[in-house]
Amino acid sequence: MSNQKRIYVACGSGVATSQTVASKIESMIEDEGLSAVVEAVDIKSLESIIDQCDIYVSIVSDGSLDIDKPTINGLAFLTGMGLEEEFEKLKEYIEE
Amino acid sequence: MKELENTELIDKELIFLDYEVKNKEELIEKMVNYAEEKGYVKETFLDAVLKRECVFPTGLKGEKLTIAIPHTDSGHVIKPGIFFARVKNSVIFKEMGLGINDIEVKLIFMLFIKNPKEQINMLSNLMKIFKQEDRAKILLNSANKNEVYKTLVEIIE
Repeated sequence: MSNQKRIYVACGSGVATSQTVASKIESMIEDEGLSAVVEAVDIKSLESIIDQCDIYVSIVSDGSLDIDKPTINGLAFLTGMGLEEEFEKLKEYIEE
Repeated sequence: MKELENTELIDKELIFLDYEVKNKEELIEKMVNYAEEKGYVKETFLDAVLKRECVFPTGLKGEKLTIAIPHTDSGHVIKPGIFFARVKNSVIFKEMGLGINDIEVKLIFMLFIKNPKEQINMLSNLMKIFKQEDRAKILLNSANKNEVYKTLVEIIE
């Protein structure tokens, strides 16, 4: 069944932190035997593509953006603070 | 094209220890001016990195360590690298994320990212510092530039 969830990770420029968090998430879900599409995106282009995403991983905040998607805290995947908790949430969203 | 080794991003000329600055803005300006002199960044970098820091701050808080990773779009970068500065007195950065919390930072890693795709590992390796207390201690305390250099290479490789 190809009902893969799409996970978007957004940061200010889509180059550094979002790529790093995306690749970390990719390897963590792979280790768990789960599968999902993980993409690093630029927050400026997020609004136009947010409908295509199932789970949003937030690294920076853009007050003007109202995101009506399951959201997890991407900073945990950078610093390790609260990582297990956020990853548990992510796994639940993926398996939903 | 040969891929750049992560360790090539570290250079002794890009290590400042116990730098005395009044605040984050002065710190960033001095670092960028120096990096521009050394040919790492274009003259547009300073403005770009300061603006980006306002909109998307780069302070990071781990369990026992706080750092900042100021950076901006690759278009302003000439030569890739990581500029490490330890300041004598902590400066205040806003924490990444909501950009609300102030955090006190002594270790600053300014990132010159030229090719984002090749440099993903660089940042994820750098993030290991949050779990490597011994190495963090060296970066925080060592007065020996060679030791700091060696430690940075070990973290990033």
